[in-house]
Amino acid sequence: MSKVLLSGLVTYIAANVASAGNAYPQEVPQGVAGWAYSVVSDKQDLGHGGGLNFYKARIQVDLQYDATSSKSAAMVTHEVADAMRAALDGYKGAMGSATVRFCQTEITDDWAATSESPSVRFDILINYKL
Amino acid sequence: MAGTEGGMGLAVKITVGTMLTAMTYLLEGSELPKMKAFIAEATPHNATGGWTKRVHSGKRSLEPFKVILGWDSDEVTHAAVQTAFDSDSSVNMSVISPDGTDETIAFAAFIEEIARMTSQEDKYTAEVMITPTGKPTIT
Repeated sequence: MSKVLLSGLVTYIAANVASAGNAYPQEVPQGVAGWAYSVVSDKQDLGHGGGLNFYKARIQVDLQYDATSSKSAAMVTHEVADAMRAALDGYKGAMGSATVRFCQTEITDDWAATSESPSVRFDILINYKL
Repeated sequence: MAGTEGGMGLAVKITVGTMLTAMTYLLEGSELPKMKAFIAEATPHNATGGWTKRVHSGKRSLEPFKVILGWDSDEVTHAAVQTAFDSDSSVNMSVISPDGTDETIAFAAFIEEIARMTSQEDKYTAEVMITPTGKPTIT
């Protein structure tokens, strides 16, 4: 199930956050810029009759971008993270062949903002149907 | 098997046409009807040691109970719930223990409440209050 959702997530971000660039599973390779995704959990709700085709997933996202001539790497990375969160928070609709019913992001790396780290990490909580 | 039956797999049936049909999307938190006998206190002033005495009134009840459905008005069993609510007559229903064979409680009931609920982070559901009437058949 995660594979379907992840494929849809990558497509959705590519279409809605052009600055996000390349996506990678697990982690952004050393020396390149982009974002990485990994599934923390993905669980189907069950009724007494069995699976309900209603899934709840938590996906961790890590971002890492290079500095430009006018912006630090931290600034670029945080701008992309903000754009991704804006595109995801409250989204309902198609995400590839999955249908998202609820989507919310949650920062799990507050330290990055204060330390001006060139990497940002947040979680995406997605409830979806297939 | 008695004593080792899992809790998942409960079936609550409602009459659709002439057939008892299992409600779809029956969710966690659904209950079974409690069986109750009405016992009256009849403690005399000279009760031994002051201990309470009680007598059976002869009255028994299958108590109202709640089921939770992942609500979908297009589902025929959910539509049957709404139809039963709209009707002034009782509808035949049954509950079947999770293993599907151990115990069936069949009874007539009224649909007393349908409370639709939505949670942003969860599903669209309805809590349905089922109020049995008359003597159940337990097999």
